[in-house]
Amino acid sequence: MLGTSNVLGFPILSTIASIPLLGALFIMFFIKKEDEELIRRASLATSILTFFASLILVFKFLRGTPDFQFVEKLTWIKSLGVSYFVGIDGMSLLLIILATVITFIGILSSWTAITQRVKEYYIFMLLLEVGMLGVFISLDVFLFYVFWEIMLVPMYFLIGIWGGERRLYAAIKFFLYTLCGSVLMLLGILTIYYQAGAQLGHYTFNMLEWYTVSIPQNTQWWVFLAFFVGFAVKVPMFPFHTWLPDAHVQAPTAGSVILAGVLLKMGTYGFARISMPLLPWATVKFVPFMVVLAIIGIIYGSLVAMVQKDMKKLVAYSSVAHLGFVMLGLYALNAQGITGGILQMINHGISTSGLFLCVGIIYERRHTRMISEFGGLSKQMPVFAVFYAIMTMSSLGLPGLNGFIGEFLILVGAFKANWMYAAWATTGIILGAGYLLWLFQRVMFGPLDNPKNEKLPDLSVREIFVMLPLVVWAFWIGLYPKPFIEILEPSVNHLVERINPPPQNVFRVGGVNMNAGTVYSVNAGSGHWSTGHGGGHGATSGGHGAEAGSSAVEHGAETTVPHGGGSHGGSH
Amino acid sequence: MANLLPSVQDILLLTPEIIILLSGLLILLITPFVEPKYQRITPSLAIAGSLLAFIASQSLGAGHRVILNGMISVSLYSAFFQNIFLIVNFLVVLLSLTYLEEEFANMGEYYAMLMFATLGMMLMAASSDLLSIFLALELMSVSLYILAGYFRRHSESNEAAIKYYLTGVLASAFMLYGISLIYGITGTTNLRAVGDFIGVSGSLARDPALGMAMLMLVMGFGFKIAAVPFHMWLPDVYEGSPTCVTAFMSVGPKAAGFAAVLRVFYVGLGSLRLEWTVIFAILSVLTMTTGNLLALTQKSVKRMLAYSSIAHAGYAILGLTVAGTALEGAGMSSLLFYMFSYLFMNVGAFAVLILLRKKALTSESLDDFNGLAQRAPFLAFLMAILLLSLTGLPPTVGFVGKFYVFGAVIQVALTGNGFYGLLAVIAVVNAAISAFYYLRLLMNIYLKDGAETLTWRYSHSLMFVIVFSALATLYFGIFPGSILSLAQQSVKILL
Repeated sequence: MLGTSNVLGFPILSTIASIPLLGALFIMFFIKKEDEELIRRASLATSILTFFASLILVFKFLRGTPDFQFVEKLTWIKSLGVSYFVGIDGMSLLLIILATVITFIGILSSWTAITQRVKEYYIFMLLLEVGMLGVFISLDVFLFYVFWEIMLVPMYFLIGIWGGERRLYAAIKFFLYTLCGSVLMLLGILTIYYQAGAQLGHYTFNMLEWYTVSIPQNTQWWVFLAFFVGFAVKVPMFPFHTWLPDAHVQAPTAGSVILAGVLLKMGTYGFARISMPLLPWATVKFVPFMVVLAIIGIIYGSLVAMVQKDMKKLVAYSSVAHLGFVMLGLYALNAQGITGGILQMINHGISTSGLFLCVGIIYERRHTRMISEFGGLSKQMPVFAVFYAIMTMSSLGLPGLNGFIGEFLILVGAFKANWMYAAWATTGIILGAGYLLWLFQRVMFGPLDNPKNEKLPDLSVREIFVMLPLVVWAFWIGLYPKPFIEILEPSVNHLVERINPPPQNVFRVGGVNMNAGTVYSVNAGSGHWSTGHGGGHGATSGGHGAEAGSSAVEHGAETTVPHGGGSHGGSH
Repeated sequence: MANLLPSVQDILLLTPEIIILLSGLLILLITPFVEPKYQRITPSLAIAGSLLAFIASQSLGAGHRVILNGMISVSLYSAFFQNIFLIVNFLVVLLSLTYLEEEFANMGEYYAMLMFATLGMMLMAASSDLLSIFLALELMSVSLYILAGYFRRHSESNEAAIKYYLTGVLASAFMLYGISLIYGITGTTNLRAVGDFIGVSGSLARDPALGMAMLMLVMGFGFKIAAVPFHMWLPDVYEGSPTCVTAFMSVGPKAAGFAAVLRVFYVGLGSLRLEWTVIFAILSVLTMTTGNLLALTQKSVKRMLAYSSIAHAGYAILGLTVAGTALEGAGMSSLLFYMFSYLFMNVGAFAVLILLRKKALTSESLDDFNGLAQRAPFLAFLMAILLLSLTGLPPTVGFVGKFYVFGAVIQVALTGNGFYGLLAVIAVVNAAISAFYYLRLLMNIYLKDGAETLTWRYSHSLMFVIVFSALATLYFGIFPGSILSLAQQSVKILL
């Protein structure tokens, strides 16, 4: 089992997640709704504070270990085995930083765009941040699900209140799609809960204990499908993507930014955090299925993006394509692919958020997003043109910018898995360059012939500050990705080892009550597992293994009961 | 053998029931002598009675005692349901205060009937004999018939009462026929004895007469818990009855019905569990799906809540379906917890309906809620919590209730029966469907703009009920542990 530790000895993760909650409550109870300026400042201050608090994680994070760090564990619902259990590894660390940065940008970008019901708006923004952070820090699946669902509500309101003309439709579509997926995911969670409970001897939602369990193949198959629907809707993968353009087009700019920047990553994060390590057999089994859907997403998303008349819709469909890349990387199931996939989650968060911000900046000035309304804007708005160009380049994967690193790693991974995958995916890159450059050309170059565009002001200082963090981050990943890859490496390697060597070896052992924690350590240690156990013998050793495993768990979970048996991790 | 006179200890175990009975009688007694300006004395008595009974019920302890010649069994199980009834009673009395005063119908009889209905429900949960169950059920039902028609000058209320009465009597007849068949076969009406008798003679479980009796009981109780296809009476009755009575009916009698159903089927007809599991599985699918689909099309909020209460009964029946198969009584305890969770969110939602209502009549449409969040942000916020809980979203108690029920089904599905997996999928899809109509109301409240079309009938007692329900919904959603373990322990006496 993975180790857990908290070097700070301080509930830093809970602190980070509760800052926006406290900020929201403060605004709710202590600021009058007429004090709009104060509300904006308070929420901006809250988001900045959250961001700085999350930076502490970066500095104190121990590289080179897949263990979960900064853990906190409290019993929550004893009779169900639910605990308040949070902790992060490299993958969640990056996503947490992404969430805090994007929320800051979202709040800053709404400064002049949101003029109605300001108080509620910022409360919902901050609550949304709580939900996002909660999902990324949860190590208890019940807690994960709670945050996962809680997030829906503020997003529903953000789209539904401050959205465009068809906001009601978009909001309810967003909500129902995601809810349908997540209730099926709930069934998957419950299934594993009972399976794991039977094997561990006690019922728990502790994700790390679940990682030590081998789920029977038949069950894995069904649970994979349940998780697939839950996460694929959120990603969104090809057949489940139809809510995304509606939600994006109707949402206010900051809503789109957060939706694209962070919320979509919930789905891919779910695959990497829950589906893949819990269901290694099914993951391998479903690779062709997942990869085909990912490639369809890439090509279909790109082609549909190309024909859009609405800038925001174009960027929305480009998200479908980019998330297809992320899924392709994850399901290449090798270190390069998964690293690239996770890095591309961050990259997509940076570049697509940036593009949505650019669209929002234009929309705020002209109140239209129709591409045909524009042309030659670079003459009128040179500073904007620079930022927009950088974001476009970042999104299409120009070397030197972040998108390149992610896409490159994904393609390497995909090539290693099967060269056909890489070949198909590459067409997506070409198409991506096509629609993004064509959009840029139509909006920014050419004659400035629409008289309505002649008096557009260039970026304000605030808008520059909105864009700046994204640009810096895009260059940083593009030029020097090493720190990011270093943070990811141990977690990725651990995930790859969990899935490969092919888990058939594990299941071939006749034991009913296999403890995969033991199996895993054998796998990691000597590379193979002796298959010499007979049925009855296997069962006995399985029972013993379960006992040892559970004592290791107790050890990891801050209890002081000295118990015999193997104790992996638990470095308190 | 049988003692003709119960002992003092036995009587003491019935303290909560006796308190409710006495306060009901006292209310009836003093009503004619109360001057109109002191008319609030009767509801105060009702509140005092339910609070006292609640306290008394807490002090009974965890023991399991069968008293009155096996008619009544006092245990954690009965106490769990009795607490639900007493809380409902308490909240509904508070709801009724201003509502009835505005309708100039604030009379003692109303509260007396409420107390008697509660008494019936409490006895129903404690009964361990088919006869006492039937008597308690009739006490509850007759009181409810009167309450449903309480606004005797409104034709809707009259229609509700007549409909409720006719279908209710029909249901009682079915049930009585079933009971008489069981008595004819086994020679006893005591549930434990019935269960033992059928269990010992293995061939009896295949007796067509017994199967007939079981079907009769399913039909009779089906009416009471409003399982589809025995639900036809419900929407009209809920819509026509005074809203405070609807709030009462949607929780109390249903919970009482489930309390009795669990006992009758699990204890009395335990040997037939294969048969009734299938029946309840079908009923639960029908009930969930029909309730949700019909709720989708409603324009009136009250009617929507009526149909949604059918759907909620469907989830509870799901718990009933796996009552006989889930380990450690998880199916039964999930049913108990579901009824508990349903109590707060539903009473709270109806309380909001009472607070905001159209002047003319009782049909508030969805559009009347447009823009409520702008006019009354706090009330809108509370309503949002209640609606999210009805939808089953965390961190509310509605989520935990659904979670626990689905968990019990999945647990059975994992024993290798794919049929239950399908059942679970149907259930969660239903939960997603229900989100649509709850969200639509939420959308009207928060997302749309609209002018004031509703009259406020603000009162402290009403606001207290709403705040209390919303807070309880949140509190037990975040800390469900104590109630969960209580539910788990309560069902142990049935195992």
